[in-house]
Amino acid sequence: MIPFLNPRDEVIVWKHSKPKIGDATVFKKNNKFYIKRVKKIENGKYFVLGDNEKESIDSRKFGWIDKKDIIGKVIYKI
Amino acid sequence: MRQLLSIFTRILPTQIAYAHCDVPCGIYDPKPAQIAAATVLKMVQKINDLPKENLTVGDRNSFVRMVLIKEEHARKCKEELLILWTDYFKPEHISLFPNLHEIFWKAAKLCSKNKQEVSLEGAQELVKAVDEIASMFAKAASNAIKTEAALNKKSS
Repeated sequence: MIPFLNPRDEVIVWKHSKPKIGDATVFKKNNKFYIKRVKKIENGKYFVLGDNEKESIDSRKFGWIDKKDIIGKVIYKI
Repeated sequence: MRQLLSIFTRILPTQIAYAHCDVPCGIYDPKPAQIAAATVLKMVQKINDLPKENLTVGDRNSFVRMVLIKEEHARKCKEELLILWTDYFKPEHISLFPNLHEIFWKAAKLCSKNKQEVSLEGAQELVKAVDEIASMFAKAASNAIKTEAALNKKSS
């Protein structure tokens, strides 16, 4: 997520709002948490991309994210 | 404010979130495998060009060096192919290349064959197999760019 986030950056995630297009969002995949930016929302599914698009592995590789796997959106970078 | 939030993060439950799935990710290229395969072929040609009789100490030294380089590059070629096979190519690529696993498996076997033998035919087969994988990689990469462009067009 460079340049928005660098390794070991800390963020605050708000669980009680739906991420919109353009929001950095945290989701669960394979029992791990990931941060990517929402590019598209369709039928309750999210297409997410990393800001560092050239090097990111994201929905272009692992597909759409289910709404139930979305944890929340990043509301503040510490 | 920053300090206050920093204190909050010590109190609130925190979890690690990853921005990348793999480290390093997205840095894949078939070129190193192609160079390694071409080096194997070149070494086989050079070994075959060495005099067969009345070898000098210099010829023997060259022979050992050529075999060593052939061995090293066949190993490197296999390693590079395995990175592409297991890290770059994903299950969704199977629809694009239904025989992907067989192609990689045969290419990896050819690397071993070239370690065991000094065969012009075997080395040429390896170069051809790696070039085929490079074409597959180019096709997969171009498909990914098209998908991204279509997505950007839709969202803009």
